[in-house]
Amino acid sequence: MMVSLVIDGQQVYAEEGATIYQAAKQMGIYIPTLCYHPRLRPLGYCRICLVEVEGINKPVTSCNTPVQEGMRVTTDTPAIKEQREEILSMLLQTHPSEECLVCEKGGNCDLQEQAYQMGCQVSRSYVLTDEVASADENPHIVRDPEKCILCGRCIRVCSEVAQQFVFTLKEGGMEARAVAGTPEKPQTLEDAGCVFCGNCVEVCPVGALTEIERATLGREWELEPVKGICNHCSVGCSIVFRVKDGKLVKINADAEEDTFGWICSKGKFGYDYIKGEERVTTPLIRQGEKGAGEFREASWEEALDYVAKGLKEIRNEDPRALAVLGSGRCSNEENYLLQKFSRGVLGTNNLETGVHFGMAQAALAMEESLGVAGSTTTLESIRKTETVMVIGSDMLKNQPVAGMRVKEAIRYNGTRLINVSTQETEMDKAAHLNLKVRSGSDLDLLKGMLNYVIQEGLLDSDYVEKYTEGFSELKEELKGYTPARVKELTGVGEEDLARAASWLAESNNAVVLAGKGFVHQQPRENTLALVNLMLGCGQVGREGAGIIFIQPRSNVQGALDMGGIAPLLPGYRRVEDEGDRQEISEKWNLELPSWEGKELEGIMDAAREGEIKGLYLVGDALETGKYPEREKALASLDFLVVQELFITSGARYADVILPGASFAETEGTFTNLERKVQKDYAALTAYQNSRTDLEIIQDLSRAMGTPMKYTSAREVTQEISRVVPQYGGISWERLEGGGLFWPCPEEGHYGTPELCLNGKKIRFSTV
Amino acid sequence: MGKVVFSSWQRFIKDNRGDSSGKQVEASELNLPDSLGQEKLKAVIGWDGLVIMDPEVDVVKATKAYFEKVQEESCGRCIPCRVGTGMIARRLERIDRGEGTEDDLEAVKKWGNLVKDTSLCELGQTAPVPLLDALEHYSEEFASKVEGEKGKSSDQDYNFRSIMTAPCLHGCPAHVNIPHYVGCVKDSCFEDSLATIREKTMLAGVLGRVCVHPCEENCRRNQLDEPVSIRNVKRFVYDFETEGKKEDIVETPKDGEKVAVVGAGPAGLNAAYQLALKGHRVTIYEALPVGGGMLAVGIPSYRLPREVLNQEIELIKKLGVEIKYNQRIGKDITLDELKQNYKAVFIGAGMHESANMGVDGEDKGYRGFIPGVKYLRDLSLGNELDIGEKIAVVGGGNVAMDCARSAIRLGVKEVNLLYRRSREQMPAHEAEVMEAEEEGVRFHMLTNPTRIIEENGKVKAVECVRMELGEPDSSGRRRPVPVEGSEFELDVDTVIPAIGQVGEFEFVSETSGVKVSDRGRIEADPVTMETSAPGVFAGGDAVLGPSTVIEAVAAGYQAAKYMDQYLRGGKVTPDEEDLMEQIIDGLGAYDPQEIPEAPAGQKREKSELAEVQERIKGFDQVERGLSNSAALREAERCLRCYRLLLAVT
Repeated sequence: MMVSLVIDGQQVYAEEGATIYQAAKQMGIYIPTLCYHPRLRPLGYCRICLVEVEGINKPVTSCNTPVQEGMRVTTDTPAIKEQREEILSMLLQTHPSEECLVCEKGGNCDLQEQAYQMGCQVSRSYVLTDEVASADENPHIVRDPEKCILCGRCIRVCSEVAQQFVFTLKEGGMEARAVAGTPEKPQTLEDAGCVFCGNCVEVCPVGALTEIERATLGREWELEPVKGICNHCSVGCSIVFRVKDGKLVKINADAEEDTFGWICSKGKFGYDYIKGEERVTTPLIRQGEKGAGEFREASWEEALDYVAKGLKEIRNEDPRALAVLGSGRCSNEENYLLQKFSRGVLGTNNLETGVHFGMAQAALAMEESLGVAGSTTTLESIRKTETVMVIGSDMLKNQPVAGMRVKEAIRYNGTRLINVSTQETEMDKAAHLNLKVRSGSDLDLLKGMLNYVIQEGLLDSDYVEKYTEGFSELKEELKGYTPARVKELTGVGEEDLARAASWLAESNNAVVLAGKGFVHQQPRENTLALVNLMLGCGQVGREGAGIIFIQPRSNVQGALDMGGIAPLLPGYRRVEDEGDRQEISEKWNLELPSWEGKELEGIMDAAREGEIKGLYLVGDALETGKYPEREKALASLDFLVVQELFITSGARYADVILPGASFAETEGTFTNLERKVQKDYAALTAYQNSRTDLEIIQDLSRAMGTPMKYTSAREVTQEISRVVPQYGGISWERLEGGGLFWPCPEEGHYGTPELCLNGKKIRFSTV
Repeated sequence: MGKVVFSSWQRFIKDNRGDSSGKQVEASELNLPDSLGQEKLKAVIGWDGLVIMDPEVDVVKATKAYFEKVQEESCGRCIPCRVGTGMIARRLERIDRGEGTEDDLEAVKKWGNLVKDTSLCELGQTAPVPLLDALEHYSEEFASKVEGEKGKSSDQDYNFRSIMTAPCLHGCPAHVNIPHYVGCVKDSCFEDSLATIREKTMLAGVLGRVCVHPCEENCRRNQLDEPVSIRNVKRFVYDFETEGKKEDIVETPKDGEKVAVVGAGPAGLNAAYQLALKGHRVTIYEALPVGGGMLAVGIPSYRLPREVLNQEIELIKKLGVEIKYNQRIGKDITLDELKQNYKAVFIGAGMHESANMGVDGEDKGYRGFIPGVKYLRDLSLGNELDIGEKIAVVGGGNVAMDCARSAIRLGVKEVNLLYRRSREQMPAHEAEVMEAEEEGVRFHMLTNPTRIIEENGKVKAVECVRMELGEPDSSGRRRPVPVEGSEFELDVDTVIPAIGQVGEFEFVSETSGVKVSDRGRIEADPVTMETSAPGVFAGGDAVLGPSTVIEAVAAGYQAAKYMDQYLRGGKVTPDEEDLMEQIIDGLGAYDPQEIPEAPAGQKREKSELAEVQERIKGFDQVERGLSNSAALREAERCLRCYRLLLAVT
C-alpha cells in the first residue's frame, strides 16, 4: 500500500512501512545521516537525521520513523539545522580530530564529511574521559576505540549479519564504549568469538576499525576501485578491489547500494597470496632429480618450446597417455579453452578441469531427473523459506556468506534449520535439529524421510499428481525404510527423523543445501533420492523451495558447464554421442577423440601404473598438500607441466613450471553455485613475468602447431555463447548490469534463477 | 509530616519559600515519605521535576549529583544523552566548585534544552527537566556560585541515592527490566533479552503466555496509539531461544543454607530459583503430583502448553532445586518440622478451593456440581470427568472463561456462562471473553444463579434471576440487584461455580508462630515477605488472596532476597532499592495524562490465533505468538521510557 505525505512542501508517495528518510531520499531530498546504513536496520543513535513532523513538539529521527498518511515533514528548518550542528559539535568534542591528518579513513570518513558540510567548529578541547584499552592482537583489524563515535553499526552488523555477537555496548555516558566481549570482561576480538568476516570494518563510518594490511599504503581517494567476483568459494560475492599504483591495497564488499553484499574473512583478508613474495615469477625448467624441487629460470619461449616438444612426443605415440587437470578456481574462459586444448590439440579425453567429481555426478543426476545440471533455486530464496536442510556442508566455515544468509533467515524470518552431518560443524549451534548420520548413510536417511512422509500422509499429493510420474513404484520400493530400520542404518533417532521429514513436508517452502559431504559417496544415488524427497514434499520449482548445491570451489559449476570432465563436451553434450561430437568438432574445426577418457582418480591410477605418461596440470587441481599420496602418481610421470602461482608440493615433480596469474589479474566470467554467471574484472596486471592461464594455453597451442586466435577473454566468452546453448544470451555487455542465471539461451532472455516445472512431468527415480 | 519547600513535580509549580502565610504543601500530598529508611528525605530530583523538602538543601549540588547519575546510567547510544549530559555534569561540577562563569550557566541551559528535545529515549529527554526547573526557580543559588561562593555544604553532607525506573517496569509487580529486554530484541540479541527476564524469573515462557501484563497498562504508547505488546515480545524471545534447542543451565555453587519452600507454584518456584541462584540448597514440598501450582492445574493447556511450563521447571531443577511431589504440609510433614529441618521456610501455597456462591443446594454434594477449581484440576491431571451435554459456568473472571472454554473443547454441546453484572464489567481479559464467544460459549449477562435444582441427587437445572445495575458499590462498579419475579430455570447437567478461590491454611499451626488473618490469609510484610515468625516468609495467593502469576512471581523474588539477607545476616530490613521503590510508588512512574511527544499511529502487532474450528477440537495452544519480523517491529515501537530518580538525604 502507498502512503502519501508531504516533505518540504512536496507531495511524496511511499510504500507503507518505509521510513521518512527513505521517502525523502527517493524524492532526492537530502537528509544528513551518520549512524544510518542502507543494509542495516536503522539504529536511530546519532540523531543527525532529525526532521520536524507537524503535530509533534520534538524533532523525530527520519531514519527509523515510518511514514504515515498525511504526515507533514520539514527537513531543514533553522532550528533543526542548529540542533544537528550542536549534536555534531558535541560528538566532535569526543573525537580526536587532530588525528584526521594521518587517519586511514581520511577522505572517506562520514564524520569528516558531515562536519565539513555543516561547517562545524572543530573543538580543540578534546578530552577523553578515561584510558581506552586498544591492545588487540589480531592479524587483520586495527581497532582504535578513541576514534569510535558509537554509531552502533559494528555492533549491529555483528549481531544481525555475522551473528557472532562479538561487540557489545558498555554503557555509561561518556564512558560508553563498543567493546569486544562483555562490558564486565572486555576481550580481544578473537576471544570474543570474532571470525574476522570484516563486515564491521566495512560499515565503520570512521577510522575506528580499519584493515591492518592497508595501513599507509594509500589514502582513500587514491584507491582505484575495480569490481570483481570473489574467487574463494562458490557463493561468488561481488567485491571491489582497491588498487593503487598497480598494487592491491584492500578488498571491500561491493558497496553499491542496490547490490551491496556482505563479505567473509577469506574474501576480505585472504588475498595475501596475490601479493607476491612466494610467487613464481618466471618460467622454470627442472634441473636435477624429479621431485627435488630444483629448477632453473627460463624464458617463455624456451619453456613453451620445451613443453610443446614434451607433450608432442607423447601425443604422437599415443594421446591416451596424456592427461589434463584443471582447477575449479579458473574462469569459464580458461576452463573452456583448457578442455578445448585437451581434446582438440592434445587429442586426449583424459580430463578433469576442477569440476569436483562428486559435484559433477550430482549435477548430471539433476540433469537426468529435473533437466537442470545444478541448483534449482537461488540463495536469495532462502529468505522466503520456512525450513532449510543443510546436508553435508559446513557452510559457516567454508561458504560463510551463504551461512550468514541462513542464520539471517533463522533470526529474522523464523526459518528452521535441519543440519545433517557426519561430524561436528559450525552449523550445529545454529540448527534447530541436528541429525548426525553415519558416514555414507545419507541415502538411507533420505529414503527413510520420504517413506515417513508417505506413511504419515504428509505427501503433497496434488503436486505429485500434477508434476510427477512413477510414484507408485517408488512407494513400494521405500516401504522397507521404516524409522526403526533407518535408525539402524543411519544412527538417526526415529523422533528426529519424523521431525525433519514433517518439517520438510509441512513447510510452505523448504530448501535443501547439499554440500561436499553429500556427494562424497554415491553422489548420483544421493541426488536422485533427494530429488524424490523434495518432489514428494512438493518442494521443487518455485521461489523459496528447491535444491542448492554448495560446491567446494568458485567455479565448479562453470567448469562443468564448459565440459570440463572426460565424458562431457561443452553444454552437457556427450563425448560418446557421435552427433554431439560432430557438432562441436565442426564448431571448433578440430578433430575430437571419441574414446572414453579418464577422470581425476582414473588419471592418478593410470599415472601410477605408467599408462599415463604426460600431464598438464593447471592450478591446484590435485591439492597435493591435502592428498600427499597423489605425489606418487606425479613422480611416476615421464613429463609433467605445472601451471601455478607457487611451487606447491606437487609442482616439485614438474619438468616445467609455467607461472600463472591470480584471479585479481584475470578477466573473465565465473558461474556460482546458483548457476549465476558473473563478470570478473582484472584489477592488476599479471605479476612480473607471469601470464594469465588464457594466454598460456594459447601460447602452448601455438607452440604445438595449432594456433588459437583469441585477442581477448571477451572473444572466448563470445565463442562460449555460440557453443554452450545455456550461455547463448550471455555477453560481457549484459553482465555489466549484474549476473545472469543460465539457462539464458539467447540475447534478450532474462536468465533462469528458478527452475520452473512448467507442467512437465518429472519421473521419480528408483535408486 | 514534612513540608514541601518547592515542587515542580508534574509540571505544577508549588513554591513555599519566603511565604509562610500561604498554604503549605505537605509531602503527603505528593505521596512522598518523610524519610528514606532512617534518614530524613531532603529532596527528590527526577524526570518530572524537583521536590525540595529541606530549605537548606544545596540545589546546585543536588542537580550536579543528579547529572552524574544520569551519566552513569546513560546507555551511550545517542550523542545528546551520552555526551550532552556529560558536558552538563562537568559544567555543573565547575559551577558547584565556585569556578563557573555566566557562560557555563548559559551553556548548561542551552545543552539542557538540546538534550531534552533530541535524545533517543526518555532518560535523556527527561534528565534536563529538573535542571531547567532549578535554573529557573533557584537562579540565585546558581548565580551566587558563579560569583565565586563556595556553597554552603560539601558533598559529604548528603547521601545521594538513585534508581532507574520506567512506567512499564514499575507497573510490573516483579519489576522485570522491560525496556532492556525489549531493547535487546531491537538489537537482535534475543539471548540477552531472555537472560534479562530471567534475572527476575525463570518463567519467561510461562509469563509470555499467561501474564496479565500490567506493564502494558502502564505503557506510554497507550496515549499515542496502542501499548507495546510486551508479553508477546517476551514469549517470542523464549520461543526463539528454546525451539529445537536444548537450553542449558549450569548449577550454581551452593555455599548457602538449607531452605524449604512450600508449594511449587509461581511464587514457590521463583523463590526457589532465586534462592538457588544465591547459593542456597532448596527443597520444594508440593502437594500435587506435578509442579507449577495453578499454572499446572488451573490454567488450561490451550493457554499454557505443559511443555513450556515443564521445561522451565526442569531448568530450575537443574540449578539444584529439589522438588518433592505429593507432599502435603500438615499431612505428610508439618510446618514445625520444616522449621526445624531448614534454616528458613517460604510458604507459597495456593488457593485451590472454590469460593461459595451462597446459592441454595451448593453444599449438598449433588452430582453435577463441580467447583471450577476442582474441575480444572481434574482436567489437568487427567482425572475422570463427567459433565454431560449442557453446563452452566458461573462467574465473569478468567477462571470462569477457562472453565467454559475447556468445556467447549471437551465437546460439551451447550456451555452457558452466567454473570451477574454486565459484559463491560467482567473482570476477565477482553481477549479471553472474545475468544470464548468465538468458540461458542453462550453468555448470560446480568444473570445470577439462585438455586441448584436436583433430581435423584444429580443436578438437573439451575434457577437464575435476572439482574439490573443499581447504585455504584464500594468498588465503584454499579451494583447488580435482582429484578423481582424474573426467575427462570436453565436445564443443565453440570454447574461449575468459578467466582473466586479460597485457600486452606490449616497447616499453619499455632506453634509455628505464623499469623493467619481473619480473612484466612497469611500475614506477611509487603516488602520483605517475612511473617510474624522469624525465618518464615510467605507470598503469593497465600498472602494476597487470589492474585496473578506475576504478583506471585514478584513475591517469590522479594522473599528470596530477604531470606538471603536473613540467612546471611540474621536480620531483615528493606534494602535501598525497595526504599527507593517506595518513593516511586508514591510519585507514580506512569502518568496516564501525559501524552508523549512521538509519532503516533503505529498499530501494535497481534499474535496470530488458531482458527476457531481448529482450536475447539482440542487443547492445542490457541495463540501462535508473534512472527520474528512482527516481534522486531513491536520492539521498535518501544519508546524506552527509562527515567532516573535521585533522593537526597
